[in-house]
Amino acid sequence: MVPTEAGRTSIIVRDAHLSYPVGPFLKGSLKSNLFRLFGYKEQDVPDIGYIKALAGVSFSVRHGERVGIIGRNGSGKSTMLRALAGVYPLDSGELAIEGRIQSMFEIGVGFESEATGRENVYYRGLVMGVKPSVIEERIEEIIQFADLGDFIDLPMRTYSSGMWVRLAFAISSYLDGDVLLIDEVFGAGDAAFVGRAIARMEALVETAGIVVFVSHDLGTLERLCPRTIWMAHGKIRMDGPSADVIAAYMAEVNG
Amino acid sequence: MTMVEGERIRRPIPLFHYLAETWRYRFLIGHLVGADMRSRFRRSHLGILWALLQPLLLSLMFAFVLANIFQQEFKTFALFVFAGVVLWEFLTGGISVGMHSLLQAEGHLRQARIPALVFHIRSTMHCLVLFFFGMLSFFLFALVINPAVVTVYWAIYVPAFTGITLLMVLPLTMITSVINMKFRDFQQGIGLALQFLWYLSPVFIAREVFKRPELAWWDRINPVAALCDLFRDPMLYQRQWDPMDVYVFLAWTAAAWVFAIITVWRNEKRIVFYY
Repeated sequence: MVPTEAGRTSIIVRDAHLSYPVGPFLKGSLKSNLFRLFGYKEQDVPDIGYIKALAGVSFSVRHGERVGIIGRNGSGKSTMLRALAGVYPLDSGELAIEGRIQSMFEIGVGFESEATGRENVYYRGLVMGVKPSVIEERIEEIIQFADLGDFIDLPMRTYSSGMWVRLAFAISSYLDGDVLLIDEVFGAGDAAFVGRAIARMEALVETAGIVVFVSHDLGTLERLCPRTIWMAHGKIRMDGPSADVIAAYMAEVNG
Repeated sequence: MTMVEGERIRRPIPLFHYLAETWRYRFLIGHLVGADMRSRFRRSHLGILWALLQPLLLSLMFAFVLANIFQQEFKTFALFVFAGVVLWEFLTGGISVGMHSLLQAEGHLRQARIPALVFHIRSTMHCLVLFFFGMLSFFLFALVINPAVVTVYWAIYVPAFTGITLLMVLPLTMITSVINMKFRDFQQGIGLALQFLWYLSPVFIAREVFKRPELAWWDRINPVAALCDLFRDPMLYQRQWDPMDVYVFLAWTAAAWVFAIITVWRNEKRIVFYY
């Protein structure tokens, strides 16, 4: 068991390995299983049991840090974030987190499109395991930050994608989280909102603990995160000050 | 909160911690059950009234047709069929509703680590709410058609029956939801299996029919037959439960729990990969 600093938000990842089983998709039907009994093998389907998504990742994040994660598609960024959230189990290695996690991976998740924005603040809060009394205390702040005007009392199916992002971010960032994990969700937000969201995350780190931010928007990432981890093929390629890491990454992408 | 993962991943989740985590999501369960009810009857003019009308109309339809075919007295037969329909819907809800419980929870389980039991309880509560409406409908129908059957037995046996059936519905939900995640063919095949069980159980056919020598073995072990009598004996005939029916049903329930715990324990952590 890796030691964490008691009472201080922190993340320690040591030699983490994680594989996706591809099998369920290829072997998930009774038909394919029956056919396999007789030696039949589907054409054009690669016989891959697992995809190695993380291959020996080690890093730590101290209280008060904002860390960006960059890398090409399929490099393991989002998998790492979901492993931190406890969504994906590691095959081996260790992961220790001190602090309460709030994640923001998929915008539409945890929302009921037929319910109003106000009702969905409760709904999403409950999905996060937050008590109704705590949600009640914070709801006005959340609504104010989301800045949806009269839309807050309309069904969410009437919202634009940018409005979904604003409400999702407002809820995630205002409901007690020590570790905020964000995966590329600002794409639909307008420039004004992104500016406010970054300011909010900066404030959050001062009062809370840690932000880990996965993004392909390197400008936003550099503005928000003093430190960046570059991932490639499930491993950490470089870890350091954002300006240096992003410059090295861009050099490779463009080179 | 300190969370350690990794090499211990394949070990069982400590039960107390797992139940405590599930308890933390109790408000979410309540909210999801409410949302399920709202979405079930959304934009319907009669709304929740359908929960009362559906078992009533289905039972009347069966009773009308079958009372003529079997030459039965309509009033008695209608109550018999209504009782069968209400308990059948409750019991098999653990399969027909429950098997979708993890599939429906994709958005939640891909976002945060929430115990699968939260979604199993959600489905079970969904079935329970529908059962309450079915019982209310049954009660009102009995009051109108034959008030003599509504006795003090109802007050004693309805809670006991509900409890004993819930003990079966929850593990059925746990088992079928995991199997349905791993084998999507399951939801296609299980409908046929349930249809077969329906015809092989005294839901609308008198249990005596199944006591023929060639079917007697099946009647003795059929949990649905036992459950039918556990419901009808006190509710329609003012009789106490037959201990043999209780034993048979509890034996199946115990087997279902063992299978459910093994199934969930072996699959819970990696179920997210099956979406």
